Amino acid sequence: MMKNKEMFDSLYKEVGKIVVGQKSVVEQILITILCDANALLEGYPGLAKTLAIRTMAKLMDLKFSRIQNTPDLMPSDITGTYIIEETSGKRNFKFQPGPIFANIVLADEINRATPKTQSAMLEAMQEKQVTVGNKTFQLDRPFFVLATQNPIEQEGTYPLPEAQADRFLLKIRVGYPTYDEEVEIVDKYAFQSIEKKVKLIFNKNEIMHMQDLVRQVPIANDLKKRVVSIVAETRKNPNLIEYGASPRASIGLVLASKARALVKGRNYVSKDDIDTMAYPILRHRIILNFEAERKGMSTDDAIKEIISKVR
Amino acid sequence: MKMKKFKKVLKEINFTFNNIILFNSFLNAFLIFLIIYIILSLFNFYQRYALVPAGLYFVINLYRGIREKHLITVEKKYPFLNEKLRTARDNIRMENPVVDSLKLDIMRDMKRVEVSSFINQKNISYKTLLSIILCFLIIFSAQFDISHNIKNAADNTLDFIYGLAGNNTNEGESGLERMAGSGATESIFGNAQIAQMGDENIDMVIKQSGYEINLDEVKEPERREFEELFPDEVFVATADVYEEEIKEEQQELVKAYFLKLAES
Repeated sequence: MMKNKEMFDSLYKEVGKIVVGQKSVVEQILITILCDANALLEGYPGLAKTLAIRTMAKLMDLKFSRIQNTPDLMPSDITGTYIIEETSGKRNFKFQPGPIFANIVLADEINRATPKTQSAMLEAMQEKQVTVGNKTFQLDRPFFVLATQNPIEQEGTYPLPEAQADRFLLKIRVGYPTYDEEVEIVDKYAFQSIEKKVKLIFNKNEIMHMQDLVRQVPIANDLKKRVVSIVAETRKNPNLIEYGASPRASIGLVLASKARALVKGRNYVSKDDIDTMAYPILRHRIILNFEAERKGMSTDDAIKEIISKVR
Repeated sequence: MKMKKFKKVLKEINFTFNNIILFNSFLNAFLIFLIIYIILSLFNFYQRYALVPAGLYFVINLYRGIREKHLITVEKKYPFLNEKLRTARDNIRMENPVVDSLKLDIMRDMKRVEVSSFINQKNISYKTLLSIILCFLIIFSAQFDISHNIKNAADNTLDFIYGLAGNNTNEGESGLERMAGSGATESIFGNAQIAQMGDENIDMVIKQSGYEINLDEVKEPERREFEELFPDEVFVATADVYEEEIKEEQQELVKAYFLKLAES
């Protein structure tokens, strides 16, 4: 376990050479990867979301691709299409894979894509395969989709329905850096051209091995019950929450807590893991009612209240 | 193998805690027994009844102690084991590298756990000392009949109170009896004159208390002469069977026979 922790610490260190701050974002992205799941990143422009994901892809020797979603993006632009290829006088159809055929796919501003394009992406996320025509293509493992959303500029967007948002394990909030961090960013990027090389920390096989290890991390029965109690409580608060989280959230919370324990170098899940991961797991799975929104409550405030209620 | 070793660790924890609980329960029950015994003996009730609350306390306390979650007690005492013990116990049947490493960590950390840290030695010392003092108090109260003295003190107090109230005090009636009322005495013990021996009626009054011998009142008997004590009605007389009429010639013959025997 300590060896794994040292590797994760090296990863943070290497990411820190490129991305200043955002340690919790990097940790949550790492947790998503270890859970073999997908994450939704929400933050204002210019907060190093793309940079962090691209850097992590380099550190893990994973093929990275970026999809900039626009309203005119078609599903075939993501999945790929058949093209006519002429070889030695003969013409035949050849499948040209789309950008989704990568290990880490960054889907920028997913809420800008049409629902049809979003569903093509979500099918790949869920099934880890793509169907074009009558042929199905398996995606290379490990496969992760890290989608981003811009909380402002909602005009002309197609917000992800709750049922689709539920398929993302975490909703990661990317916040502004601190004052000192911003000074460091300015020093790093305004005065010198950065092309820092980062060393490889994990390879594909090691990542898949870690994903198996995550599922092996044990959790105490009372903590398991705590997880279910927290998720169930989201369905029992009509004065605060209109729609609560589904059992998928319980599975996700246990898995994410296990991954966090592994990242911290522990071989058991602690209560702190559950309380910390409850926020990114639940914030996109609950809908506040009008009364809560009128009071100016956020989903994080509601989650905090629920956690404090559950013993 | 690791699972067996770890199960052994868990069994040892439970066994140790159960022993501690058993000892503490016994000590507390013994103290309760002694306290109630003293109280009962001061008021001259059946002291054996002290076994009942002591026994009940022992059983209930033991049951509650055994049902306690011992692993949480260990985790609270030793923060480096926090959440680890429970997790390993709940996943005892799982065998994978992560769980195995957790069990190994626990077995290594358990070497730092001291049984004495769960025993409140000061508490036990005080309880033991108290039980010794109580035992001595019981012996002393039996030796000096403190219950009787308390009863006398209570009687005197009540006499005083009755005197103040202007009530008539009957001789031979204790304050407690007066409080109970003579009617109550008769109704409980029946009429005062109940014994009939021969043609005489013997007056008997049963006192509801003070039936025990007070050793202080027992004195050496008075030395008296036998002739003073011997009743006049008793005398010696020969039996009639020995007073038969024998002729004088025959009496002389018998007398001569024995004289000759004596000479020879």
